[in-house]
Amino acid sequence: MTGSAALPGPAAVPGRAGGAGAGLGLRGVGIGWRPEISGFVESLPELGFCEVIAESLPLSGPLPASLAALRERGIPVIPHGVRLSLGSADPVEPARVTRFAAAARITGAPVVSEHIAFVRAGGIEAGHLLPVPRTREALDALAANIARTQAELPVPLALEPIATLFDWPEDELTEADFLTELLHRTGALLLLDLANVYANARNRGTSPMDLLDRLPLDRVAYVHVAGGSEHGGRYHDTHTDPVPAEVLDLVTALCERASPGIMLERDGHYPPAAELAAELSAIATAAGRAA
Amino acid sequence: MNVAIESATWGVSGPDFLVDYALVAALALGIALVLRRQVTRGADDGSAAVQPGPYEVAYLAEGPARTVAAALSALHTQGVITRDGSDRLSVSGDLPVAADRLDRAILAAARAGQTVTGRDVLDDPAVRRALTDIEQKLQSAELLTSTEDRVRTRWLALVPVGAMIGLGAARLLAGLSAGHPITYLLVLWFVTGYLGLVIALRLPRQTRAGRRVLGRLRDQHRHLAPELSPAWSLYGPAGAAMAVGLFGGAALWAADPAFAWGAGLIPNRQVANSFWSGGSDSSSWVAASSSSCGGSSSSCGGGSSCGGGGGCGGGGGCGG
Repeated sequence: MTGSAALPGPAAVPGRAGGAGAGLGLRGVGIGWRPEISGFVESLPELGFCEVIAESLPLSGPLPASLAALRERGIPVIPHGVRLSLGSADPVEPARVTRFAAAARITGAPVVSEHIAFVRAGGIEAGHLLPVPRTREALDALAANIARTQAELPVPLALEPIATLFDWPEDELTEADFLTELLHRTGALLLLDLANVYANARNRGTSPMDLLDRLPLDRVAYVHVAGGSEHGGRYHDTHTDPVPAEVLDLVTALCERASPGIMLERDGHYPPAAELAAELSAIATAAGRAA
Repeated sequence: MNVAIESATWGVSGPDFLVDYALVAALALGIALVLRRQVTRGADDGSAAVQPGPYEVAYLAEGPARTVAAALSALHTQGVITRDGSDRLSVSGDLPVAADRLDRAILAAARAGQTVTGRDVLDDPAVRRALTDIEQKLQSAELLTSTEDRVRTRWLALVPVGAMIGLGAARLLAGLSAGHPITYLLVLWFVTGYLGLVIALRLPRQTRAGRRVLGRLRDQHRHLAPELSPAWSLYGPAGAAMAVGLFGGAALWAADPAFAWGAGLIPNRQVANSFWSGGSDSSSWVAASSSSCGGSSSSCGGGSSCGGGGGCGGGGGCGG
C-alpha cells in the first residue's frame, strides 16, 4: 500500500571532513516524521533518521507507537523545536526549555534542533518563524537564550537559520558572518537548510553556491531540504511542493565538501507514496553524485 | 421433622433445592457456552494467515454500509466519484484498472441514476449481490458466523437455558403459593436466566478468529487511524478504503468531511457503536443508518448532533 524506496546513503568519502556532526550517527537520507504520513515513514527500509516536531511529543513518554517502532529499529529520532523563540529579546521561557529537554530524553536523540528566529515578542504570538536582525545586539540576546537552553539539554543543540523573505535595514553582519559568530560563541551545531539557502539567495539575487561556501560547514549536524514555489516574484519555502533541481544541485555541492545526513521536510499536500519515495531517492542520488 | 419435610415444596427443602438448582444451572450454562463457542470460535489459528482486502475488512468490521462507504472513499480518492453541490454523488471518471466487482456495481448504479446518494448505492441489487459475495467469502473463511449457524445455535442453546428458566419459575410459583420464602431462589433464577439468554441469544457476527484478524489489521494499519489525520493522497485508494474499513465513519469524516456527508452512510462512530452493541443483524443496521443524521440535513445542521466522531465540527463539512 505504501511505497518503499531503496535509499542509497551518501557514501562516506575518505579524506572528506566529517564535520562536527559526524559523531551523531545521522547518515543517509531521512524525512520529517508527521502523523499524517507515519505509515509511509515506517515503510522506508533504508531510512537514515527522522525528525519530529518537539512540541508535538508528550511531556513524559511514551512515544507515539510509530516513533517507538522506528527507535526499536535503531533509527535516530531528532526533536525539532519550533516554539522556543530563541530570537526573542526576552529570556526564553523556562517551561518551554524543560519541555524541549524532555523531548530529547524520551526520543533518546543524539542532537536536538531549533530555529534562529523569534515567534513571539512582548507576549504576542506571531504564529510564524520571524527573522532576527543581524546586529551585535541581537547576537548577544540570541547567545544568551541559547546558553540558557543548552544548560538544560542532555544533548548538543543544532541551530537552523530560517528562510527570510526580507532583510532588516539595521543588519550589521552578513548571514554567513552572523551564523559563524553565533555558532562560535555558543558551541552549537548547524542545522543547514539547503532549501533556505536557495530561497534566500534567489530572493536576494545572489548565488546560493557562494553562500554555501561561506557557511561554517564544519559545524553541520544534519541537513534539511524541502520544496517550494514562487508567488508574486518571491520564492517561498513551502514544504508542500517538490524539491527543485537547484536544491538538489546544492545537495551535490554540499556533499563534495562534507557528508552529513540529509532529510526531506514535507508538511502537506502529500503526493502518492511512490512519488514521495522517488523524491527521497533523488536526494540520495544527488548526494551520491558527489562521490 | 416429618412435618418440616412434608411442608417442603415437592418434598425437597429450600436450601437443598437451591444447591441442586445452582449445580444444574451451572451445567446448563456450560452446555450453552460450549454450543455458542462452536459457532463463534471460527477458524483455528490457521486464520492468522488470512489477509482480507479493504472491502472484506469493512464488511467484517461492520457490514454493508461500511463496505459501500469504503468503496466510495476509494473511488472518490481516484476521482471516479465526486459529490456535487447537493448531497448527491455522480460518476466523474472511468472505471479504475483495478476495479473489482463491487466497484463496478457501484459505478453502474451511479451511472444509471445520474446522481445517487450513498443509500441508493446500498439498495442497488447488483451492489447487494457483490456484498453478499463478500459476506459468503468471510463466512467460508470462518471470520463471520453465518445466519443459519446463529439460528441453529440459538435454538440448541435455548433448550438447557429454557429448561432452567422453566424449572425455576415452577418452583418459585409453588413456593410462593405455599407461602415459603423465595428471595434466594428468585435471585439465583434471575441470574441464571439473564446469563443463559445472553449466552444463547447474543451471538456475535464476528467469530473470534474474525476479531483476531481485525485486531491484527488495526495494529498493522495504525497509521490509518483517524486521530493521525492520515494523508489519503499518499496512501492511495486502497489506503482510504482500508482506513474506512478498519476505523469506520470517523476515518471518513476526518479525511474528507464533505464527501462523508455526501456518502451519508456512516454518520459518526457513536451512532454506529451504540447500535452495534445491540448485536443486531446487518440488514437492520442499514435501516438504522438512514434514520440517523446522515440522512437528513436538518438534524445535523448545528454540528453538535453529528460531531461525535470529531470530524464533523472541525471539518466544517457538516453544514453543507
